[in-house]
Amino acid sequence: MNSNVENLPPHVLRLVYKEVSALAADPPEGIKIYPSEEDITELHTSIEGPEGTPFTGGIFRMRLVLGKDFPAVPPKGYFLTKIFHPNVGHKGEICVNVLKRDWKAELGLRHVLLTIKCLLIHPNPESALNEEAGRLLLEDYAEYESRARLLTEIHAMGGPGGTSGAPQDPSDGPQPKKHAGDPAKRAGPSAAAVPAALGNGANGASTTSSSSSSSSVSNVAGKKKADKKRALRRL
Amino acid sequence: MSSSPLSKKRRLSGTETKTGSHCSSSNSVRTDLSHTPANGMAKNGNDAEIDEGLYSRQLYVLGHDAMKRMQNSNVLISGMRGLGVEIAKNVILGGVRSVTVHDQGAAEWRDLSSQFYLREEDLGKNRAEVSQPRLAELNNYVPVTAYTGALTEDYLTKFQVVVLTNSTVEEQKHLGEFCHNKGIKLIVADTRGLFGQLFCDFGEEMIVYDTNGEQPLSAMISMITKDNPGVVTCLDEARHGFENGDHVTFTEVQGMTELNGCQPVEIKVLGPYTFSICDTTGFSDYVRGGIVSQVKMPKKISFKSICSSLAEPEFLLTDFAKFDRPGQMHIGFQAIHAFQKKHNRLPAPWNQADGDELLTLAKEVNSAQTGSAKVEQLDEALIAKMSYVAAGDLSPVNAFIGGVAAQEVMKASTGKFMPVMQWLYFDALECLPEEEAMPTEAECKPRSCRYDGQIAVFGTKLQDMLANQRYFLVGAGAIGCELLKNFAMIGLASGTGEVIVTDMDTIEKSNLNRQFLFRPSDVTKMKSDTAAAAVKQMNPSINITGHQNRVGPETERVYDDDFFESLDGVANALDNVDARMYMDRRCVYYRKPLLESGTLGTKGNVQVVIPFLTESYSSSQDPPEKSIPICTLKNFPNAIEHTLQWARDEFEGLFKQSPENAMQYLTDTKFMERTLKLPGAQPVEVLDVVYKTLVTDCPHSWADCVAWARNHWQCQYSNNIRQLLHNFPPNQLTSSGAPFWSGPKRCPHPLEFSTSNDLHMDYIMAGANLFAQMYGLPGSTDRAGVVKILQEVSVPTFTPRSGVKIHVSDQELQNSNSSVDDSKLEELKSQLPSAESFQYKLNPIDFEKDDDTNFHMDFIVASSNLRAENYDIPPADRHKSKLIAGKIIPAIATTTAAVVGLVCLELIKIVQGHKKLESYKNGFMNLALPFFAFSEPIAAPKHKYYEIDWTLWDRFEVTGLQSNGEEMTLQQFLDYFKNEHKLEITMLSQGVSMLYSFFMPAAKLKERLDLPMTEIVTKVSKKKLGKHVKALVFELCCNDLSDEDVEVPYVRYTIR
Repeated sequence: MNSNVENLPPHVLRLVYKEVSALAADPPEGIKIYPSEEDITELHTSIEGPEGTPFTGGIFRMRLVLGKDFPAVPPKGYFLTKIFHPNVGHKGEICVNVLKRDWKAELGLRHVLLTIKCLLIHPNPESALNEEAGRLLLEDYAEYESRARLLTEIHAMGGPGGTSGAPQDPSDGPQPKKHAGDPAKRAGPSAAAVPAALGNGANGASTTSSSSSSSSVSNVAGKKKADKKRALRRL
Repeated sequence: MSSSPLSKKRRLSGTETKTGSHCSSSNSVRTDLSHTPANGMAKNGNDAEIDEGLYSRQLYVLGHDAMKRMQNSNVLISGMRGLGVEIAKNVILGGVRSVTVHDQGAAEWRDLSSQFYLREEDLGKNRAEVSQPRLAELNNYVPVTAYTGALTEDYLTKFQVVVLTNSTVEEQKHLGEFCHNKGIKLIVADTRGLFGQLFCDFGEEMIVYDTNGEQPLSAMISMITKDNPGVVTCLDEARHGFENGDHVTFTEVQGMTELNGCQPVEIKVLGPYTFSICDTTGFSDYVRGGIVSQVKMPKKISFKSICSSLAEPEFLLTDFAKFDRPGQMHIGFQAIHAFQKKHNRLPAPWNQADGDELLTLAKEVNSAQTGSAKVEQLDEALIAKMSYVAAGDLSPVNAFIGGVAAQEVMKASTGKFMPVMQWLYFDALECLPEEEAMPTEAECKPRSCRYDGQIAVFGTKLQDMLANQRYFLVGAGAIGCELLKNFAMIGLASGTGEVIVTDMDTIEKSNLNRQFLFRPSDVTKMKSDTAAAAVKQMNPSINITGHQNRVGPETERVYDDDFFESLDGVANALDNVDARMYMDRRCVYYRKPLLESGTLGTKGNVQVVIPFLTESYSSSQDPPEKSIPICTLKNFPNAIEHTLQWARDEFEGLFKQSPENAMQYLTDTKFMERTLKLPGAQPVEVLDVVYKTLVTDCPHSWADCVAWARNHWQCQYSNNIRQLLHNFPPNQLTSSGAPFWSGPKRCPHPLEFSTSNDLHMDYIMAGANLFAQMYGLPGSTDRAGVVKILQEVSVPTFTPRSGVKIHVSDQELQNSNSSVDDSKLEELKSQLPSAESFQYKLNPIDFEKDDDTNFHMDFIVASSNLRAENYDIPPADRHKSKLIAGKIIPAIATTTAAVVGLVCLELIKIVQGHKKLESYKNGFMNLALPFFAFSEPIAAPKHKYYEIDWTLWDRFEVTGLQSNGEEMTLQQFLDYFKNEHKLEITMLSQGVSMLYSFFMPAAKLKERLDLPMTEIVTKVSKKKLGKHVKALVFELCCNDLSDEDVEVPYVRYTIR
């Protein structure tokens, strides 16, 4: 055993590898997955906005993080692409029952991905994280739709230079806890409510990031974005 | 996610048992029905006498009322051999009014095998007198007296509870009848080698206030019928968890308001979400809402006196596999008393003649019985074994019976938890050798050494084996201290062996209540060193070394291959699941036995892991605690747990994360680069926090801190609530037409700030002081001064953002863009001060729940209770808030002592090399019920590929270094498995790093195939391999020759 051990027991890791390889070989319709070689417990995905929704035509990047209690505890999902949706908070966190209360260990990653895709079709304003979106959905669907549509066009249709498309370095943001327990951390806050940690974990040790970053925005995309901003101001 | 301290809950197929029922989901509301003061402060005149700092963890087990009742109890403990001193230790730690230890005998060699407060130089001295000063050190609040006179009736009347150990049956009967008539509560406890006995008589009219120690449950209601009986249906959020015969009352019911605050009504459970109550036909119609809460009803129980109970015994079973043993041992113990009376000694160890005589005596005892105590057929083999080991005195058996007996003392003095009704018998015969080769009489003869009491049972062979053991003890907390005591007594590592104990913690005051090797003067010292020194006093020949390392990947240089390979076994004494899993993995890899245990309040468990025999600790897992959904935390709290977690998150965000981010910005040159790479809106958010911390919110005076706290109050308890109500007004309907604010969603209301409201001022005082600490400014506790400052603070008026869709979306638009050209981001970057221009050093604050002067809990209590008021949730006092927000694990010395006794019985089996699964026992207990259960460990599950059977203990051994001195490449590795094992690898991983997969891009694969394995590992994991790493672990996914997916063992890939 070496210094790279993780807290997932071997039989669980094996299960994860199997699921990931099944997903990679046969992804659910409209979903692409990008497993991270460095850490299989961190799964980057992109979900196509389903037809007939304000998200149609968009590509939404989403990250699934399998914690140390997986599969007893569902993975945490975060939208990396900005989205106007009642059940997605402003940090991208997702609140959906199948990922909380109704979770069963047997459900698996495929089910999680399909559920999140389903959530794009049927939002649930009653467990709203984005109250504004929840309110509009209940009161003024047309307004909800146009707002959601607008954000889709700005953020989810930006092409490779925007915030959608290829995954970034998976070392960003919250990480599942990987070391043998520190009792001091037991009293810690719930992971979801803490602002995403900087760098790579608490010690701030940054890993070499992979080459791709979102800094290069083509002129075309930039112009398109500026147009959208103006459009938005006119609203 | 917090980890359970209880290592495992009991697993039983089929029905859920009572032990499992403490596992409450976050959705079921736990409400303490006792009144809690609105200002959230726990202290009142009455309980000022309880030292909460010392008794903190035990208070969460017993509660304040029971603690106060216990403090009125004078306890007599007679017999200061191993069992007596164990009971005395636990009772003194618990905090009764006084303890008197009684013994008329002098210390002998055989006492030293379990009497941890007797030393060799004490031989010949009175056991009570020698023990008294050592026991008295355990708790300054409990006066301890030694008494060496006769136990007269008159003397006994000074006590509320009397415990007899090492007493004659005549004494038990005589004093027992006296106590029964005088209302003195009596406990009789004895151990004879591997056998233990416990008897309780708490009188004919004993009131038990709490029969199970569980928190009262509560649930939210969705429907109540008008019927006889009325049927209550709960929201499908969570099962109600009630049982038939429970009593409940109601609050917040709309419509059928007759139920609100009603007298406790008995229920009948109809299903997981339904139960029936009283006749509701005369009540008003149910409309909606309501909370049903369990009410604990006092229960009256009646005990028989020892004489009548001897004849008509009622047994509490400790092992369901030994259901007929209690009756046999009941006769057996009486026969031993008869033997002792006749010969004035115990049966000699493994002496055949004494064994025969005891059997004859047992037959006589049995045939003299007229009542239900008579057994149909005596188990002659069992009685013979009782005779053979009766002269023994074993530390682990005393620890178990002593822990249980001490809990009974507490029950007797408090009425808290259900007592043992009335006899409890226990045996650990599985500790004897597995084969018929039992110890001989010669081997077991006393030889005037401190292990005589143990040699009497096992002979000298075991003693030698124990002396040469090398054990790694992980943790020197409650379980660790108890383990060390037992290690010292049984003589573990007293020869060429060694115990290495590691713990990175220092001693705190709240530890002293159960970590009995520590004294008040040890506070702030390292646990491992202090504990090691303390047990050296108990047995100077134990070889013990203390370390201060946390086990984990970072200490694998210390606990490396050589270290683990030299060990005989590992004992965990940990308080969290992560570290347990880690040690389990290490033990599986090095194929070492692991002793695992845990406690939670009165519950405890023991698991033993034996290489190539049992499953490992990680093979089975408890369902993790449910976390609170984020939307519940953010907008829809309905229980105090939700507001406390919210408050805890507030603390972390405001006083830890913000200053940490700001400090990183100031000191870490890579910070900006890293931040800008974060996805979505995060860069702007992070920089916005940094900007606020360094510029807009940065205080220059105490007054600024007060102003900040005041404005933050306004924002959290007024503005944000008003904004939420703007989006979802109280009369909002859902798409199905039902009220939006109903069921688990409680409609909030904003608060109005007032300096005359104590809770509001509590918040300002705590918040402002923490804020000042964060910036290194002096704080203040002058409330009147703060009131004055507050009068000058300007609080901007707030209008909910309504109809400003453009503004909202504009901001969304601005916030949303993660690319560097975003204007808001640019603006922020330009406004941030340079590191040089900022003169403060920011202090991130680490939450510390146990310091009552640091404002941490003050802030948590105030912010949680303010939010609770927003949502009309009943507030929680400081004590309860600390339990929940601090994720405190209730703990009591009794449970730990009993659990560790069981652990050490397993240790004795391991050291002898027991090979049968049925020789080992995993144990579960709940002293509150009381409930005990033992089960055979689960065998390691068998897997198979081709015709090869394997378990988690098996692996492939692959030597990475080839004969030509070069390391294997990936291609060679894949080929090796294809050729040698007929397995085609489809995926290859090391830890969470994926080294190879069939779906890898072709180019990447091509590049990788010719690289040595270690190079791929370093490349993918982005971590260097340390010099101490001699081998790597690979996991494989494989296909067999017929292209079927097969499960195979892991690979140990040796590189050095």
